[in-house]
Amino acid sequence: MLFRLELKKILLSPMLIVFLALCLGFNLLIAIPGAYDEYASFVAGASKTAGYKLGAQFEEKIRKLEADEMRDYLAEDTAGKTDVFDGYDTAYIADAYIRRLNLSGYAAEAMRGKYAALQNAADDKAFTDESLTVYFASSTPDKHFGLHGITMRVLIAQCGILAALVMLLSLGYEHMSRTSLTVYAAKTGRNILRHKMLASISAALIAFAVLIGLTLLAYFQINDYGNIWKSSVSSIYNVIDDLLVGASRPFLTWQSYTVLTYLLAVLCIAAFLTVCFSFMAFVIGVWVKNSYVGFLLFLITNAGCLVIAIMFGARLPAYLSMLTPAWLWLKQPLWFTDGGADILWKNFEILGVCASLILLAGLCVFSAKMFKKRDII
Amino acid sequence: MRIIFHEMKKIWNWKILGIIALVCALFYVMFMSYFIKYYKSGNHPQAELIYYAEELSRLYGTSLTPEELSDYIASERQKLIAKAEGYIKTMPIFAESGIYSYADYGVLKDARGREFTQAENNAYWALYGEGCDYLGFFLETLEHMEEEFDITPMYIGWNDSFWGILNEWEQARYIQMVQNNEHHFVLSYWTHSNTNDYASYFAVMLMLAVLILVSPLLVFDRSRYIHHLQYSSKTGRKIMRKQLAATLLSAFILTTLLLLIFGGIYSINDTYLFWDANINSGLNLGNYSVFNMTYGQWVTAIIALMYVLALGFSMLAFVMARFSRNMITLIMKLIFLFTAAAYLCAAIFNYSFSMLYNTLYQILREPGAEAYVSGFVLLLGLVPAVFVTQMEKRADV
Repeated sequence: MLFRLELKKILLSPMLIVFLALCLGFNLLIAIPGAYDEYASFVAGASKTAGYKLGAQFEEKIRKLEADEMRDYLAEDTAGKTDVFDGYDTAYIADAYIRRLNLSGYAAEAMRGKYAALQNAADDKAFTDESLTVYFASSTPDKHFGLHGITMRVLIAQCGILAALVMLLSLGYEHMSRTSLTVYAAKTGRNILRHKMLASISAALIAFAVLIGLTLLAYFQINDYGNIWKSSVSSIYNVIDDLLVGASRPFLTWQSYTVLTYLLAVLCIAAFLTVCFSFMAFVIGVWVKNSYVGFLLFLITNAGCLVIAIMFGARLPAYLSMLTPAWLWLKQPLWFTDGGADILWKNFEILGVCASLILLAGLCVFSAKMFKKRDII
Repeated sequence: MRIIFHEMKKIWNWKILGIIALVCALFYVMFMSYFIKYYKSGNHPQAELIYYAEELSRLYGTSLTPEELSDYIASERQKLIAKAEGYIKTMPIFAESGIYSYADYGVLKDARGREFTQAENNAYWALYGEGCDYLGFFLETLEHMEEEFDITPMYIGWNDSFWGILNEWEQARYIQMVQNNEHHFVLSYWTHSNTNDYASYFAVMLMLAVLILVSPLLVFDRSRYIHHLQYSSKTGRKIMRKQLAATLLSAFILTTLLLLIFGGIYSINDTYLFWDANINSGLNLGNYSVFNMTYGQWVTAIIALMYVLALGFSMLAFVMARFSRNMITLIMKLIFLFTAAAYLCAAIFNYSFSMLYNTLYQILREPGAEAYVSGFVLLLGLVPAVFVTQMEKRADV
């Protein structure tokens, strides 16, 4: 009952609706428009007849398409491709990182271990010729980064900020309405934090679904994906530019993902990350009465997590900071891959989200317990 | 004045100041410290061009003729080649590829078009390395300075270059620049670029700090229903004007404080050596300004723009705060205001007054576009702020 009432307070708040509308407007005006690519659109259209697997059959079907510049370019772009994971050795990546960053001890060992494990993933992909899928052909890096590096990052940031605002609004509601002295004088009143937290998280997830749903709907209206959904996200065309290695390397995921399942996996982690931001705002909101100061402290905490990596360089505190929600957000384009030189562990995004959830949940429980005993005057 | 002073005391509370200090410190570490740490070290040939620009400033003042530069380069080149000979004779890496003198190294350098063997590659890059005191970069920089210093007049009438995209006014300005010998001043591209980037990030941080400081005032009062008491008297009805004045003064003081602190930090880079050097220096790699101005005048101009923007955005925040029922609603509005401020700062302070590189100028094609847009922001804040303060006098509470 209390949960429903708290949820109603939040969902009926004009602030939430206006903020969602403004975010959606921002996404439609700024984040999305640059996403359209004529060649990529042609590839998606061609995939409806030619399929998504590269090879002789695909090339033949492409040749049968109506002759024009795009068709000729696609034919040239996809001709004679071989599996990039055949004989691919991941050890050179670890060697490059260890040499360039002067890693030693645990860090060097963990880095070697990570890329030794990644070798298994490469071998599995070589066995199934997974890289021989068209994705968006040579437009793939821009298209993939456009969705996962720009659009999704903007969306997750908006959802994170919204989650924090909703939590702080809920926690500060009694104080703003001058009902705190009445509500918190009773035992039930003191327990209301639990209902507020659950209601805020629910509202944040509803807002997450609405914002991401509407934005991606608009995105996929502009960008037709055709049969590309079934393409592997580790296609031969999808590469990571790695300055430390000195060359581009394949977008090698730990498991096999199609474009669709990769997007769904990213959305799943993003939802949990939103919950992490909610928990963080709860802890801050319980200790700091002033919502304005609370929100600023929320931003400072996340910025502080980013700064730890800058200050500690290639040392353990920096590697641990990569598991915080702020860094997970920043590393979003590399989720489900090795993560690059600043990640020591496999599946860092799952590890980070779980660790953050557990730690923050513990802090939430502690804060709520302390609140029950606190003087309210 | 007393009321303005007390309103300012409400704005400048220690919690908010502490938060601003933290925010600025974090922002500095994340975005600005790079431009102090790596200005003279770490990047090549940036370090070398800055070194030579400073040396030329010390020896010749702010400007010199192409003949003076040629003499300097000839003498410096001799010294560097003598040093290079020393390294080539003593380091085995050169002998391994058949290089026994600088002349032999020159032959290898001239053959850069073909594929080198591993030994040749090692020898070629060795002269650019720390082991040879980055001599390769020093020599290359001298070559580059000789080519670039007097290249400015060559672009006149060369339609295949950027000259082809300049309009009539810009071409006339360019010709005037050459006639005034503005390109014979000494200012390295890296100095201008470093200051530009540092200033751009500083501007964004400044807007954030100003918005954090001035925004809560009205919402705090309204959340405690103090405005009911204030509006019950004639003096109280004018309080919003005084709060606006307090907001503007606070924005001004904060801007000045942050300029002193972060400007003081930036002075470590010694760029004041180029204060009187014309920004259209041949060593500034084509970063031509629409105005005949020195580096010092350019810095002063962008500081003035920062003041104007800080005051404009503080007034916009003031107006938004008037229409915010609580802090969360205010924060929601500030997020979008700050996003707009950040985008605008990126457009205004990206090589301000540059003929070729500033986004605003490229769109508006009006000399001083940055100043016009900043002035527009000031007006955009001032008009509704004044209107709101006038309306409050008659508002029902």
